[in-house]
Amino acid sequence: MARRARLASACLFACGLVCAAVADQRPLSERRILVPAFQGAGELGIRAANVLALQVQRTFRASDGEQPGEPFGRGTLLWDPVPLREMSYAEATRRALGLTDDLDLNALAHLVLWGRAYTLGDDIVVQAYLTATPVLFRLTDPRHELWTVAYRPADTERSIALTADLPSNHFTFAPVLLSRDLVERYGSFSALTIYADRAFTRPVGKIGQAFRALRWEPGAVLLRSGDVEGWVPFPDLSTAESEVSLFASALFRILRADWAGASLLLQRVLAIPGLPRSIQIDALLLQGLVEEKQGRSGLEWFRSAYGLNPYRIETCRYLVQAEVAALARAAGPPATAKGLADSLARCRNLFDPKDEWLDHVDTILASLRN
Amino acid sequence: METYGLRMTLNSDDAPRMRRRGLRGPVRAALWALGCVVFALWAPASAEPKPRTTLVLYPYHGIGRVDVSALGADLEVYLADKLRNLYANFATHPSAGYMADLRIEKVGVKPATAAGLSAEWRRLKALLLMDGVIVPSDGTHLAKSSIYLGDLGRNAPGKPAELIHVDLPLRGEEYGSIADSHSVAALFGLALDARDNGLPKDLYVRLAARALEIVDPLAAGPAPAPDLKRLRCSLLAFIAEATDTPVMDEDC
Repeated sequence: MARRARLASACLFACGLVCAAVADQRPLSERRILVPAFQGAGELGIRAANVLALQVQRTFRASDGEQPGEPFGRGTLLWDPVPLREMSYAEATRRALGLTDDLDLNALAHLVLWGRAYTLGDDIVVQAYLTATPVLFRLTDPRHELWTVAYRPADTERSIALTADLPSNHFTFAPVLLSRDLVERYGSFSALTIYADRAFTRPVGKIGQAFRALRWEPGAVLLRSGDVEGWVPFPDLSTAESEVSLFASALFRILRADWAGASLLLQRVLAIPGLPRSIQIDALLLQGLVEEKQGRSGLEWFRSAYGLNPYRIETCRYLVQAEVAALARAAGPPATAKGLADSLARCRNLFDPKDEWLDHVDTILASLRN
Repeated sequence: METYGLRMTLNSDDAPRMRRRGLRGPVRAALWALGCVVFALWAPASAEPKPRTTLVLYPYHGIGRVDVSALGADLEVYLADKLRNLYANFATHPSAGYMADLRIEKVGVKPATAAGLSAEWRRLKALLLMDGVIVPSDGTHLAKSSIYLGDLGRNAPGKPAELIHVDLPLRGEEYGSIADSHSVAALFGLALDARDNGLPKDLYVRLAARALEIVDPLAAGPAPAPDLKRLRCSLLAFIAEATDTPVMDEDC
C-alpha cells in the first residue's frame, strides 16, 4: 500500500520541449536527467532538490532559434520524491537504471543529480553530485558528446580516428549555500496553482503530476499541465544560481548537441570564483570540446586545463587530440608536428602503454615524421 | 594463486600417493600442520592483491565544554558521503572495481598513543584513520582534524607528515575544504596502496593526479596547513617516481 502510494505520488514531470519532425532529418533522441529528492531532515531534501531541478529545467531548449525545427530533440527532467537509500554513486546509478525495489519509474536517465542538504544556522548547505550513468555510456546512440577526430596521413587512403569521451563520469561540487527562504518556497510541485495570467490573479488549476514548460520568464513559467495552460510563479531561482545547476545544465546541453547553449553556461561556470579545481578543469575541457564540435580549435581551453593539472590523463588526451585536430584541419601538408610531439612527450607516461588511443596517436606522429 | 596451488597439491596429486605409502595418523597430521605453517608464512607474500578499502572514522569530540553532538554528527555524515564516493571517478577503470568496497567504519575510541594508532591501522587493515575535535573559535567553531595513513604514509616518497593535521572553521562553506583534506589523504592512500599491490600504473597515477587536483587550492590558500603542503610535495614526488618524469615545483 505504502509502495503504491509512493508510486502514485512519484512526480514525473516531463519538461521536454516538443519532439517534432526535424528539418535536417537528424534522428530524434531524448536525453533525461533524474533529480531524486536529496537526503535531508523533514522536507529539506525535497525542497533543495526542487530548487536545483527547476534551475536545471529552465535551461532546457529545443532550438537556439537559428536552426530550423527543434534540433536538440527532447529533454526531460525526472523528479523523484524518494531520496536515494544510500548516498552513493552506485545507488545513484541503480536508480537511473530503475534497478531499485521500491520504485518503478520506468525512466532510464543519462544523468543523475543527487546529494544531501543540511541546515546550518539560517542557511541550507547542499552537497550535490552529478553522475553520468551507464544509460549514456551503454544504451545511447548516437552519443553527441563523443569527440572523434579523423586524421588521414599523407599518401594513405585510410583515416585514423581518435575518440575522446567525457572528461569524467562523475562530478563532485563544492557545498552550495541556499537561503532558507528560497528553499521553503519550493515544496510539493503538485499543489502549486496555475494562473491564467502573468500577474497571478486568476487561478485555473493545479500543476499536478507532470507538466511541460513552454516558456520561462524571470520569476515565472508558462506551462501546460493536462489540459490546463497558464503561469506559475517560481521566484528567485536565478538569483540563487550556482555552479551545480549551471554545470549540470551545461552538461545536459552537451548531451543534446546544443553546443552554443552549453558554451554560454560553461562560461558562467568558469566565472564563478573559488570553483573546485576538478570542476574548473572539467568545465575547461568541456568548453574546449564544444569549440571543437563547432569546428573551432579548443586548444586554448585544453591548455588552460592542462596548466591546472598536467598529470590528469583526460587533460592530456584532450590536449593531444586537439593538436591532431588542428593538423587535420590545416589545409595542405602540415608544416610541423612539433606541437603534437611535445604534448605527447609530456603526457605519454600517464597512459597504459597498451592504450589503443595512444597507439593511434603514435601512428599519426610516425606518419608526420616520414 | 601459488597458495591455492599448494592446497591443490596436498589435496589432489600428492595426497593419494601419501595414502598409498601408508602415511596415517600422527605423520599425516604433522604434514598437515607443516602445510599450515608454510601456508601461514607464505600467504602474505603470495596472496592475490588485497587493496585496503576501510576508512576508519573516530567521532568528532568537543573541547572546552562545546556541545558538538549535532555539529559533529553532521560533519561525520558529510565526510562519510564524500569519502564513500571517492571511487566514482575511477569506476570505469577496469582495475578499480575493488574501490566500490570503499567503506567508512565508525570506531568508538581512538588509541591514545602513536604505537596504538599504528597497531590499530594494521589490525583493522585500514586505508586511513581519521578523527577530530571541535573547539570554539571567534564566535564560531573550529574543526581540528587529524588523518593517519600508517605505513602507507611512512613509506611514501617525499615523507609526508605521519599524522596530517588540518584546522578549518566549521562553517557551511568550509565543509568542502574539510572533506577535501580528507579526500586528498584517502586518494593518496589509495594510490600508494594500489602501487604496493601491483595494480596498473595508470590507475595509481590517476588517483594521485586527482588528489593533487584537490590539494593544490588547499595548499595555495591564505594560511595552508603545513601538513597539507608536505602532502602535496609528497604527491608530486610520487607522480614523478611513477611516471619517470622530473617534477619542477618551487614549493617542494
